[in-house]
Amino acid sequence: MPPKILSVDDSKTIRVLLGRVFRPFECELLEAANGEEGLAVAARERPDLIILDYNMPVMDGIAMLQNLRANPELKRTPVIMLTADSSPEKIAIVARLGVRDYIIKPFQDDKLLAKAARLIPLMPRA
Amino acid sequence: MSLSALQSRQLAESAITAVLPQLLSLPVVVLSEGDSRIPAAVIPCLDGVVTISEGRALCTVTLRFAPDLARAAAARVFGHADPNEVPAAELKDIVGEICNMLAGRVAAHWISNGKSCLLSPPVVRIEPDYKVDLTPGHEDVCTHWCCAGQWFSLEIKTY
Repeated sequence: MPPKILSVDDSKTIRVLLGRVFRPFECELLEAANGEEGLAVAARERPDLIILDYNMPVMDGIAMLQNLRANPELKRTPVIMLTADSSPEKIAIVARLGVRDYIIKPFQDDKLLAKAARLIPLMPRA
Repeated sequence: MSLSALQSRQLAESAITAVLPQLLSLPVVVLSEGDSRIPAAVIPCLDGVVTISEGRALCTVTLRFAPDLARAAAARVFGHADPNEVPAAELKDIVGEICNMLAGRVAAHWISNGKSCLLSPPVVRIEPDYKVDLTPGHEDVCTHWCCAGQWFSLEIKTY
């Protein structure tokens, strides 16, 4: 089974760019536009990695993380934060919630891939 | 904490050069005052605005794109062969996201000075009748740029 990657970002621009980064690899890409949608997709699809924005309408990234960590079936899902926000307070909050990495937008494709590959197997598509 | 004209320009230049070329894979050129590529007439613009606050507003970051540049950028990112076929929602999304990234870079300046910054969600609107402000001193807060042959500007207003 190829790994499932869930991108949660209110910006379609970011979701499209992430899709472009991971498309050459054997993986299934899932999308959500806010934390609430992200939780629903995560509960249904059980992703192997979540790439999560911080500032989003409806439910932000912190609230989604708190909900994920409170769910016994999803609490171990690795999360990489991908956000424009570099404030140390927010980095500390998400670190306490077990976030595995924190990337400031705009991301460099190879750095994002390197961080993702530490968490899930990424094999080039045949 | 307001910024000096020099700090504002340096901040704008470092934010633009860190974000735009990487995101769009297109070179950007900063324009000097009086450059003929800075529009002199009233033009339509797509404006993205993010407010950076710490209890009170510290700064607003306004990105102004000529519509043709927004269309070219969105066509590139979303894979449309014809820039004129880009839906309005995608134009707003890309201008908002670029503005969000630029504001994140600007906020890093305050964060490095011990401030705890909040970034508002980007607000994008169409300004049908924008006129570049040529008042002496306005260039201290507004830098003008060219990308893919099209003008855009970044304004950083501190309070």
